[in-house]
Amino acid sequence: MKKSMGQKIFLAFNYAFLSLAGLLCLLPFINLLAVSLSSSSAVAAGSVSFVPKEFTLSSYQFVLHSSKFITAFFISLKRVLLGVGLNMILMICTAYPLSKGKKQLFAKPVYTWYFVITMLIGGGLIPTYLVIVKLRLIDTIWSLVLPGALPVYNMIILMNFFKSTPEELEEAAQIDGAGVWTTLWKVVLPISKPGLATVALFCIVSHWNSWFDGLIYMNNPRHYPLQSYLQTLVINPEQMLRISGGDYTKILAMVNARTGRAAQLFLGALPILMVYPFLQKYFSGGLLMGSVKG
Amino acid sequence: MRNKIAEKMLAFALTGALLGSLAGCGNSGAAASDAGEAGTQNAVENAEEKAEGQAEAVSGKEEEDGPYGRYPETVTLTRAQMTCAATQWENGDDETNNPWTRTALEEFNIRLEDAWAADGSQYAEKINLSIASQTLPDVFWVNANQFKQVTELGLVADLTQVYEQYASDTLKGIMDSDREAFESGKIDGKLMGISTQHFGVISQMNCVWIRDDWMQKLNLKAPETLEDVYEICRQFTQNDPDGNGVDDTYGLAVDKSLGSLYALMNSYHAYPKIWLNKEDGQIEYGVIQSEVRNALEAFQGLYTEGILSKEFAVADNAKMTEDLVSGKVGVAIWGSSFGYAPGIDVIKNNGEEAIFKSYALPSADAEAVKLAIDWPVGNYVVVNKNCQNPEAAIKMINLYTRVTNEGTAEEYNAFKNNERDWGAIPFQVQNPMADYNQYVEISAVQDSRDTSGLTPDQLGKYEHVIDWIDNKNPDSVGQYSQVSREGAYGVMKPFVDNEQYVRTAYKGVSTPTMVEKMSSLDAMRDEVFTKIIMGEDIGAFDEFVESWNSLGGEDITGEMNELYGN
Repeated sequence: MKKSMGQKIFLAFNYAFLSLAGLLCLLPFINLLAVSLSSSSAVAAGSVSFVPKEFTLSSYQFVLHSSKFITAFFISLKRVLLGVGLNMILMICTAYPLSKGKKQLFAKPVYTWYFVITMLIGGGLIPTYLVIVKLRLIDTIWSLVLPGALPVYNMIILMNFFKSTPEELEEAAQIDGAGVWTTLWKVVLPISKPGLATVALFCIVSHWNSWFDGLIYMNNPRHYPLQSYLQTLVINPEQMLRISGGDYTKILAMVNARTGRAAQLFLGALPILMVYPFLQKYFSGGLLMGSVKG
Repeated sequence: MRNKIAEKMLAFALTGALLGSLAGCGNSGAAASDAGEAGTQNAVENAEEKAEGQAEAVSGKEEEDGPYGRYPETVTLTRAQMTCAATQWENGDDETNNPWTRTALEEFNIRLEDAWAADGSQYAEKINLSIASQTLPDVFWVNANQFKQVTELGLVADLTQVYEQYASDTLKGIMDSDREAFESGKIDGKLMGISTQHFGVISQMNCVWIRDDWMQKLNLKAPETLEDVYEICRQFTQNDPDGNGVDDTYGLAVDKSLGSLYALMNSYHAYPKIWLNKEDGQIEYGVIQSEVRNALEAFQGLYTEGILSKEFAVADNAKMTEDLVSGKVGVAIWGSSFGYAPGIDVIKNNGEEAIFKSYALPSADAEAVKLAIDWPVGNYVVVNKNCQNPEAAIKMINLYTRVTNEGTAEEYNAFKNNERDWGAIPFQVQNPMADYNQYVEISAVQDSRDTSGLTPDQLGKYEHVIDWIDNKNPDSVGQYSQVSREGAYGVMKPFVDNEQYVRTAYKGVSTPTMVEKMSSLDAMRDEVFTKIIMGEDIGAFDEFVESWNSLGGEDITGEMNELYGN
């Protein structure tokens, strides 16, 4: 189809505008990378923009210098695998029934509110901690995984997604003799991949990024997940001069808080960046395309 | 972006929840206090009986049991350890197995166990949680507010007797060098917590730092009066000290926290951030005194002249540091650590001539300057009332003070270097004279280079001082500008010797209204002062004093007098 002049101009502007918007998202990241690869004195002088100055890997050396990073990385990995697995199972098992009408699910509003109320009111830090202590979850990976094993917000997203799937497909399955579990497993889930991918990504990101619970529930820094460990690295160089008053010139020499923080942010974000492309195809892979005819 | 918002919402929700839960605690605490008091009373009495019984048993058991006495049988001591990610252990050591734990076992037969270990940034939080869940270890650190809490709840042991009997002379000397700090660990005459002390008033002092190559380029003399300092700032602003032909420099480094101006206010005998003991015996906050008004008027003039950056009101600390490092500004009001950061970066970017030299803060008039000193004690070592061997904690503190103050170079290196002394927390007690003595000793042998009399901590800094003098190694400029003869401590030492400082009346324990309102009062202070400096009429200060009083300041002052007044 031939495009008119106006359309062409619109398209040109559109591309220009969107590239600019894209660049706006990308540039801070490039700056971060440049800062993490520059010497601290160049960064302190504010002369680093998009190209590293006085190139050095010492920030990465600082962050990666001990086996602690690797240990913490694997704890984080374990947490994501366990946590997201548990999240998905519980979310699916909750969202599917709640997506049905009142006739199919007895006392549905009660159930719905039962979950929603946890989004509005929390137990508070100390009471939650006490529960974790009494359950003897303290200092175990389960203290990071079990509280919040059912992310209600994500569950609601999934529930709405299930609601939008065509009733006819499930009816067809039931006529063919499928039970509830078979319907869920063989019919609903396969057509819900975009929804599942979305909430899975949310869960992965939140498990990967959370650091506070690790600091609170773990009794030993060796059990910190990656983000908690990195958090301690960033805060401490500044604190150290005040607390130890002395000889930490070696660390200060090449790494100040800013380059270290940049390296940390970059390393911390990298795994998520690598997961994203694999989930991307589900987002773009057209919703329910061709599953209902007529 | 999404995440950010979610994070913020979460933070908001958590804060709300936490506040809610705190309020809940308060209520239930009040309701239960009547019933609880009797119980506490009993517990205290029991603890006293126990302590007496123990003392007898101990003295009966072994005659020579003293500060370094060894237990015949292994004693287990659980502790809450504070860790630091930058600690570098050697030979596969870690937090639970290192020179400190091994020496404890070999020398005292004390087995140290971690009830938990937490990063320095989370330690206080973990202590709160441990108090709430009643899972306190034998020995731990508390901050002043927590100290008040655990003593009121009767959770910790009376250390008066074990301290008298077991504290080494070194430890007692350290405590004597700041009696006021030590006494703050006493409740009703009983020693309930051992102050971890501090690095001395000298480590809190500020001075004027001036870029030396600019001084020489413009042929300026060392400042003697405050007007001299301002004149130097003026020259740096107007006379292109970096010689690049562009008007891109200014005089005095200030950021939006106004920290350096608050320090400079000492020159006007104003102490905006501390609580003052007035002559009539009342305690008043420094920020509402009329001297602050005079200082603000002067700062307004500096801003009009262009001596302050036009952007100071939006510049954070990083931006101010950036200006110092990139050679945009030549004067800073800073503590003795200036040479470490940003000093090292200044040298790396501008060459060795660009070193900042330190000068005493001069007075605005004929009256001598006094420097403001904050409450210095961060933590107290406390022992759980259920601990069977409270004296074990004292022995461990003896060990720490011996190694760090009297140890050999090898010992010092094995126990302390690369942040390894964090492994001794909560048995760490600082010597308030250490920094002061570093200056005295190092500056004395700077020429003769006779290091035989130096202690290990002095030797470490001495080597850096010499490294700068001989090799101009930028990484050593921090120690040189701090403890060498030309260093900042030399400038500050007379202030210590002549007691030219004002200590705050606040001793770490916050009052209820302070917890609630102090941060918003501080925010209002910064906002109003920024406006005044940028040109608003000075009458705004009088309005500020009024609103400060009516918005909670008056209540806080009343509470302060009740808590700390005579």
